[in-house]
Amino acid sequence: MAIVVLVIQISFIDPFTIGIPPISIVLLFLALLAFRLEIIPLLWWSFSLGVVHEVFSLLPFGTFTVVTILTSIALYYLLNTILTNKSLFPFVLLAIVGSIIYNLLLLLSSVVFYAMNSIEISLYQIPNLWTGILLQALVNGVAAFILFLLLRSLTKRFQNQFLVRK
Amino acid sequence: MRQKIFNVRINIFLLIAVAIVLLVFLHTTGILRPVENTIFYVLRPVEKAAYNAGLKFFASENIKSIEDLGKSNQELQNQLSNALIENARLHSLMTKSEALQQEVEYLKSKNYKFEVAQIIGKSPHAGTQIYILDRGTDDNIQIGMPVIYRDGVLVGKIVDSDKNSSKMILITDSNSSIGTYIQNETNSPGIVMGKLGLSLEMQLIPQSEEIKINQIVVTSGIEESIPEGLVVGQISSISTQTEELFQTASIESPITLDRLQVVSVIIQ
Repeated sequence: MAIVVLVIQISFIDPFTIGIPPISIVLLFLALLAFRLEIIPLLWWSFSLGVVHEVFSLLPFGTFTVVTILTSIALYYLLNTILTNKSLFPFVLLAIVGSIIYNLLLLLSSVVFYAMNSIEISLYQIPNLWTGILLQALVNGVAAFILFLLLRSLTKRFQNQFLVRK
Repeated sequence: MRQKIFNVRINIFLLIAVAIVLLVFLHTTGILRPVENTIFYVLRPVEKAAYNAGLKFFASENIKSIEDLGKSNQELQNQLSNALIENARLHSLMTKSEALQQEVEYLKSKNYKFEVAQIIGKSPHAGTQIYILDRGTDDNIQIGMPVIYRDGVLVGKIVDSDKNSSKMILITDSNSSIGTYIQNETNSPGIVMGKLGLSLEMQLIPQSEEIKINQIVVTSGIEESIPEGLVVGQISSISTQTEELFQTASIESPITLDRLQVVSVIIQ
């Protein structure tokens, strides 16, 4: 599933966008995982998603894995400590916040590695960078809204529920 | 009784951290390379299909069937016959196309060795114009090699190469710079730089050089693996300021660079 999502993003969406892609289904998938899974399976999923990402990346090996794992941890703690319930709007918020965190972490990695001469290409000279990140976060939020309603109509697993702190 | 030093959660965090360090180590030493190549090899057909689907979905106007092309060709021929009356205007257009045609013929006569590759995706670095090709070191593709479209329009160069795949940076990417000259009486030199993935700009053209709109810009061959004479584009506008040492020109590529499907890498 992670591979399918990644291939759709890399070969179907990204090649036809200039700047930040308006939608990231990888991040939607990550938000969905953070929403549904407990921390341990979430970490393994993020790990595998990140590792497959590395094959296509120009950043030093491991960067995407670390960024994906850090994003999923941030989303998990956001859901469990601040949002405290599993319903439509927490899911939408996860998608929005996830997009922002992920893009900022990648941007930071690109700047740091370029400054350290670990990569020869500066991967952060992006047209409309900040509006692009904001637009992606908003579009991901809308997509999460639709996805949640769609999934709730298909399965009973997406009914509203409060989270119990263990 | 066994004492628990760490709880399960911390153990998993540690395990994943160790796994990442191990993977980085295995990648750096090259042990992981066969696994990476296998992943890419298995995914290649799926990516190809997804890219082609994306091309049809997002850029359908560029993917016309042979029948459609035949029809539009006929229409163009009719239009050309009618336009013969406006001989003067058409003459300048013909001159331009002849010049480009001559350029293509020139490249054919050079007998370069090509490796045809298909674009199958884009590197996951938002905003960059780095595309993934389905050919790699097994097909003699090396870093620095020029990537062309049709018979000689430069579209990018190889920046990374693995066994079964390589990555090409488009000439419009901000990181791209190519030594070029303008095909005029003095072969005015300059450097064509990418502008945020959107356009091309030729910089560092000496003020003393006389340049005109529609003149053709070609590679100068200053880079080791990029031969001289590959078409980069035509001058679309010129910016000259008397107080500056150099003049700048906007360059228009004859092809739509962000809708490419099949390209050729010059391997020799």
